[in-house]
Amino acid sequence: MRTSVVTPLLALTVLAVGFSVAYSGSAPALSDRVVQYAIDVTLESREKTLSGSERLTWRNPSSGGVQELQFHMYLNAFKNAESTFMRESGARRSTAVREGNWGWIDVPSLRLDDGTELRERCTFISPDDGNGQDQTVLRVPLPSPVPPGGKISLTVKFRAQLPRVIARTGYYGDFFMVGQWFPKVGVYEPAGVRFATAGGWNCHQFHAVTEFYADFGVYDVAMTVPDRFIVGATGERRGEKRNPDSTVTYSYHAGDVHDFAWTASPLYVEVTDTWRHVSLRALMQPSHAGEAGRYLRSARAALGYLNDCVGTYPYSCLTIVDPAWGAGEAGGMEYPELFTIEPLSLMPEGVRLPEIVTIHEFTHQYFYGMVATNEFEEAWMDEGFTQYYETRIMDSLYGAKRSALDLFGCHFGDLEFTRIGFTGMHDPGIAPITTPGWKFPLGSYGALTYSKTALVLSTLEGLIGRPAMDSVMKTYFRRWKFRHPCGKDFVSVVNSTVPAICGSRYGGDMNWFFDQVLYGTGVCDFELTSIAVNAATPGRGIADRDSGQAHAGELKAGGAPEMFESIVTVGRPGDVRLPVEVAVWFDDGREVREEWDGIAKTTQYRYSGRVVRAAVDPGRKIMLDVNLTNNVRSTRPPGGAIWKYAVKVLFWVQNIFLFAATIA
Amino acid sequence: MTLIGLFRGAFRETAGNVPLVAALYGTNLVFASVVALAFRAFVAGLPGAGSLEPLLKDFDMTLFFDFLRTRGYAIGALWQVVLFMTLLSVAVNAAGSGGILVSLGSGSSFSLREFLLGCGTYAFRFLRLLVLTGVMTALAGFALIAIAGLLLEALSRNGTSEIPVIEGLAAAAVVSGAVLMLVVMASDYARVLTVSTGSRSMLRTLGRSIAFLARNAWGAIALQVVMASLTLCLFALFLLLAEVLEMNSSMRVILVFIVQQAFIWCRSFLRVMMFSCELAFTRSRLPSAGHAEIGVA
Ligand SMILES: [Zn+2]
Repeated sequence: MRTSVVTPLLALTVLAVGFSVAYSGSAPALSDRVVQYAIDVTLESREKTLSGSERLTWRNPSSGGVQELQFHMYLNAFKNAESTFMRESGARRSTAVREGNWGWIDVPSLRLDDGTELRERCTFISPDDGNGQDQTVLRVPLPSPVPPGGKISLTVKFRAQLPRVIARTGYYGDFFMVGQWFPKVGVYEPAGVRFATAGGWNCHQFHAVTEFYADFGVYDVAMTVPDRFIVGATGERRGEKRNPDSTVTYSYHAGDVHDFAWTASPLYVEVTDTWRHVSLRALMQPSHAGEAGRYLRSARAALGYLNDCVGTYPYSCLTIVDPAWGAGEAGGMEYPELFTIEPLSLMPEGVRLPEIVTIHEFTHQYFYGMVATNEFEEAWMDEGFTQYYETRIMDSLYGAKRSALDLFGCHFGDLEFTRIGFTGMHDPGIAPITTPGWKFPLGSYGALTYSKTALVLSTLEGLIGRPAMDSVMKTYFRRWKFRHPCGKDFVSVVNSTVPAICGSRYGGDMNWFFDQVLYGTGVCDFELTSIAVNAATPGRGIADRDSGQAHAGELKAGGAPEMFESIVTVGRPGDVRLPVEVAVWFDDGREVREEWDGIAKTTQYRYSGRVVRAAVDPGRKIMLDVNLTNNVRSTRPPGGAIWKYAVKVLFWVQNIFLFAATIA
Repeated sequence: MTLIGLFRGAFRETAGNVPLVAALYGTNLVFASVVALAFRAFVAGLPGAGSLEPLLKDFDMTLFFDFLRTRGYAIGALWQVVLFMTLLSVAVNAAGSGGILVSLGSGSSFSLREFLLGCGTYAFRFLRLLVLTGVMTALAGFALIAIAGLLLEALSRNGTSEIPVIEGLAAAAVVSGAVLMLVVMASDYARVLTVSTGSRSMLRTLGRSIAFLARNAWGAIALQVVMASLTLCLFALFLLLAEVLEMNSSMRVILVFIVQQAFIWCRSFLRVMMFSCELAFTRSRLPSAGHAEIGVA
């Protein structure tokens, strides 16, 4: 009897302890925790400055000694017109910065625990472009190397001037979005990690379009701000201390993240919600407070979807930040456990921009946040993967044809919308999507990293099917969460997962696919080239019925049943070779499906019977196809559809002319 | 004369002059048909037009964008047709309004000779008037854009919310609408005055029209607002019907076409009725206008 009482109690206790461990700050490490930061920072709201002290403990993850540290000093990207960020952004960007609106960060002291001052040894370096004016990477030579697996601790004093909001960070009036704000150590990649053949620092300059790559660790950050400010940050709030000088100090703790961002404004209206173990907090501008529901709902939907299709969101907090109006550049940005949105008042429900932005930025918690790829070198792995899931989630919530826009009878799906970003390019083959972020030809970065990658993944899904795709993504996430994978790591997951599910249908691996669409620049286009229907030469003798058992009667010249032969020709005007489905419809209602390997430039299918319509890729599985208008052909002239739109044109032109009659 | 009486009289007069409505409806139908048929021929003649058949069931933005992108080179020619027909329709409508006003003003039953005479007599004057009102609209437009720009700049500078800007934009839209309505009214009454007084100087007539409107603002505006509201109600009714009668089969296309044409007929009717109202209103407030010899240059 006793045991029967004690056992459930014990079980309950174990469960409770397990739960509290899983979702508290003392949770077991999910990542390698190479870094540990303890930062004290004070915001001077009037001067728009930060002053602080950072204690960093860094562990050498490699098997060799490390002679130096490298730090991101990203606020210096906004220091003058000569920074790499400003140069890459074009003259318009820097000339738009008014006097007094520049930003910078300065490190007066870097001291080792033994008191050694390192400041004098520091130099700015520019590993990406050799720009001697750029001060976004600081090199700190050490007096003695950090041994393999050894740790080094140093205290860094810093002062920073926040820029008026520019590219993701800064102030606007009393609104502060504080991102990329502290001296952040780069990633030391041991040999074998990603592309590294020998251990070395991967610490890129701040670029116009890319900015993220850092090691996982623990952040304990205390922010002191005027007491009228409401603060949101990465991680969970652990403390709040009112100070005698009308300031307040908020303490935040975040484990297993690779960055830390925060925001402050006296105007925020806080709206909260929960999803399972996650506390959601939306910090809205007063004029948008009523719209918080749209953002929170979308975040919950994304949490649910990604939890089911990719993996668990392990953090207990998520903060959604609505930047002040006028600080639009801070909108639509991802940070660990926090992201910013881009709201506009009076946005109709049918314009789904709020949902799209929320779902996109939340998805970055997975592809950027947990699967911490190198955004500089392989932006497609976070932006593209995120875009792919954004379209999947949106399409699942609102339907594939209405998930981006559904207003006044006009509708557009999110994947469709994503697709035209790529297909609308002047030259879709201008560069491979694996190009490093800052090396993309002008104007092609977004279309290739976001849109083309999403289409590549969507096409892969079209080929192998959604269950196999989900299996690939779950495996990829499980294997690479809290680590730094590169493109070949993802390809390797696909190569091991797809044959296991699809057998040898696509060969031993999928390299043939990735070589073309990931590393190659070929354009994908299939076409239904032609349908030829010819009257078959009437035969002579006895004609069989289908079964071959009875005969239809003797064929006589002139009296033979009418017979047709149809030839359907499909072609591949594009470079990319993919297996594709062909559908053929006959006048008697029959439908035939063919599988074309898509290797030859063209192929033909012959049928006895009268083909009326045929389509290549009828299910639109190959979204990479840049021209869908040549995918279908019909032997009958287009009828109703064209009249439908002609009638619409007639009506609206009549209205315009009548309006003209009113003013004329 | 009360407003209700004015409307009743105008309705009766328009109903008694169905050929005028038919002329307005017919000319616009012919011009618009040229555009619509050109559009149809353009689309049907393009390679791959067969791929558009699914658009009958549902609009496919992907296909539409691909079509624009891959066949867009041929659209220039279509635009030329649209531009030419628009200019032609503006000119013919300008001439036609002379015929309508003369026919309505004569008080007798419709006569084709009288209508055509009216068209011919006032065509060039009304085209000159069109240019004048165009210049007036452009000037007003520039002034409005400049004021709205300054206002928006002031509202958005260091603002913390877009609400004042949205309100500012809404106010600018209302003011622009009001200004456009005033221009349309000034142009309409100038035409009525031209036909009523036989004036040849369009600048002077436009001035007289503005002065007339200034003296009789409330009546004229009430007239305009009621007629505009009627058109809007009609439009709302049409949208409702179009929504219910989704064009997803050939029969539905024909049905919607009939509804559309009924709507356009009603709009044409309201336009003629508006002229009739304006003519009666001008005569009631400006007795001298009524005594002028109508239809004679
Ligand atoms: Zn993104």
